[in-house]
Amino acid sequence: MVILPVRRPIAAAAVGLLLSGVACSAGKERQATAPRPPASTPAMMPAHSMGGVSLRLAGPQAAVQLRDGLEQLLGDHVLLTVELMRDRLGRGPAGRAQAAVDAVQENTDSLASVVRQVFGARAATTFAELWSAHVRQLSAYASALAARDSSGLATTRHDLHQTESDLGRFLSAATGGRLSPEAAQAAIHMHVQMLLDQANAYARADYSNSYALEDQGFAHMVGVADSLGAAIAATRQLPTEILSTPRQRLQSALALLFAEHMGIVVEAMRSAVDRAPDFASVGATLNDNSTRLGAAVGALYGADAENEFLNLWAKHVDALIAYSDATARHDDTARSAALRSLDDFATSMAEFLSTATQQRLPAIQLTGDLTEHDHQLTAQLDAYASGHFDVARQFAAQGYVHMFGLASTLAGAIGDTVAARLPVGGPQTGGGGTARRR
Amino acid sequence: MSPRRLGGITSLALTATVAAACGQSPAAKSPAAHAAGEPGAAALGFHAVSSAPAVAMPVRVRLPAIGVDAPVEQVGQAADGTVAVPRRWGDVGWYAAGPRPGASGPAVLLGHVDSTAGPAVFYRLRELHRGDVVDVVRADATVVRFTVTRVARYPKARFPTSEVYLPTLVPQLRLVTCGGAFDFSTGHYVDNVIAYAQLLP
Repeated sequence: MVILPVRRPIAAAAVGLLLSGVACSAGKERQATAPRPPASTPAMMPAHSMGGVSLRLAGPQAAVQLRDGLEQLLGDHVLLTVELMRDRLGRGPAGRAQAAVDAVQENTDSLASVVRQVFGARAATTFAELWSAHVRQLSAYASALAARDSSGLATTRHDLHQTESDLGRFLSAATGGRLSPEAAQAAIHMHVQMLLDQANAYARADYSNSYALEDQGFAHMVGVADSLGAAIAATRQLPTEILSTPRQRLQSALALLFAEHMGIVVEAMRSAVDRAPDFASVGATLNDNSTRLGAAVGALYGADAENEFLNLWAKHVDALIAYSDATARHDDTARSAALRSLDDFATSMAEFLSTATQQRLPAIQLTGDLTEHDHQLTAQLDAYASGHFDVARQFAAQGYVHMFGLASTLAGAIGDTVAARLPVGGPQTGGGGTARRR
Repeated sequence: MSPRRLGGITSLALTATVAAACGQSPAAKSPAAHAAGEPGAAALGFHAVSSAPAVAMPVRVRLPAIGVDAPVEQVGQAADGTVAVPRRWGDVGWYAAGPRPGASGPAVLLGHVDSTAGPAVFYRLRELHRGDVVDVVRADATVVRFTVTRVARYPKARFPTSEVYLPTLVPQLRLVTCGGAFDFSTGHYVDNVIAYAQLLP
């Protein structure tokens, strides 16, 4: 088994049907019946909720799987920890905080599971203790911030600094010194600082800066995951050259953008349904992500395709926000209209991507994938709006993992398509005039 | 279709089919067509971004470190799949099927190292060093500045196609010319010299 989901059409269809049921019925059941959690097969289970992550630590793709898994888990760590800290600051409805605590703990368990398989049980125990302390201290910092407890803030800053140092030494030892203790500590310190800064900004209602810092913190941690993955793979004597190939870099970059989209759109939808004061800022961050996704399409296929993509993608984003707004207003007619827009988007975008990959990805498969993505988003919102925060988190987590899988599939097909039309060989840019004079 | 010339036939066909697949031309699906958005989203003051800022085509390249200030012409792919080269010894060719300089991705500029009589526009490309500046003037008079990160020489038989052309998600620049020994039997140089550059913030 790998960390990234293996796409199973039947299981995906089952999840889609279940999600459809939740999405379509949530308006009536909101106050009475708990939405069912998403159906999962082991291969589609959100990574952070997998009790036992299996790594394949051999073969030419082993380093890629390790890197992808770390990107996914460490990226999710940022999103979940930000959510936890903002809950401590009073963001969102009461009762949501425990779901955030559980989600971060599950993410920590999955990370420890990776450490166990690579370095053994003793290392995993040490890591879990350090990482849990790191999370607890971040949570305590946000609580102190909310309470305007300057003494508590100073204490947690000191504790965080100590844990950074301990984690730096642990990671350096784990990578056989390929990462120096200083470099590892610096990476963790920057991660911590971004989380503290986003919380500080959030606490003073500077939501724009808070979301920008979250965005930067996510990208930074995915970069840390890349470095860690390469260092750990080298320590295990796995072939690492593949990680620096243009194709792999493209896949990693696309995965980052799509996963970021999932994280931000979930926040935007919840903010919209809560009528939260940070909605405009998270909306702007969502648009920044869309712009970067469009730029990626532009780099691959040119400016016309970039605009075509953005036009379609905007319908997706707008419909999700409209769905959230309609849910807040208990307007079933508007909810249905938004769902129809999402269906139209899935069909149109699937055709676009299928054509762009010269049918390497069938439109029908892509329609299913995009529909699944939309269902995960609307279902998480339904569960959230009805106060079932654990279920909401499961749908969101599954959507996050699904995005990594979709990005991987897209990057593979796009890479093949684009590679097939690149110029071949080196250009003949010389007439020989200077050679003849020598 | 936008005024952008994609150069490669494949790319033109692809763009056309992408547009066709979505049921209408890109022009018909202008950003304005989406301006209304979803009423619910608009009620919250939210409008999803639906178009990208335009990036103008390159018209001139300046490499002060090696005394180059040259006009840009567009090049595409030759029938045999190789990249076409500039028609004039003193011009720089921009591979127009790839990104424009300053847009996301690797923009590729090619120049001859020499003519049949003497040095040409990229004769001193191999003298570039890390940190040297590359200015690209665009059709709208904007200038986008890059800095050289490395210069490398490759046998043509092992030209790093992916490294040069495969898209990246950040703006980059590749400057390509010939180098190494001249093979009088084929009338071509045996190597290529490539300068890699990244966008300066």
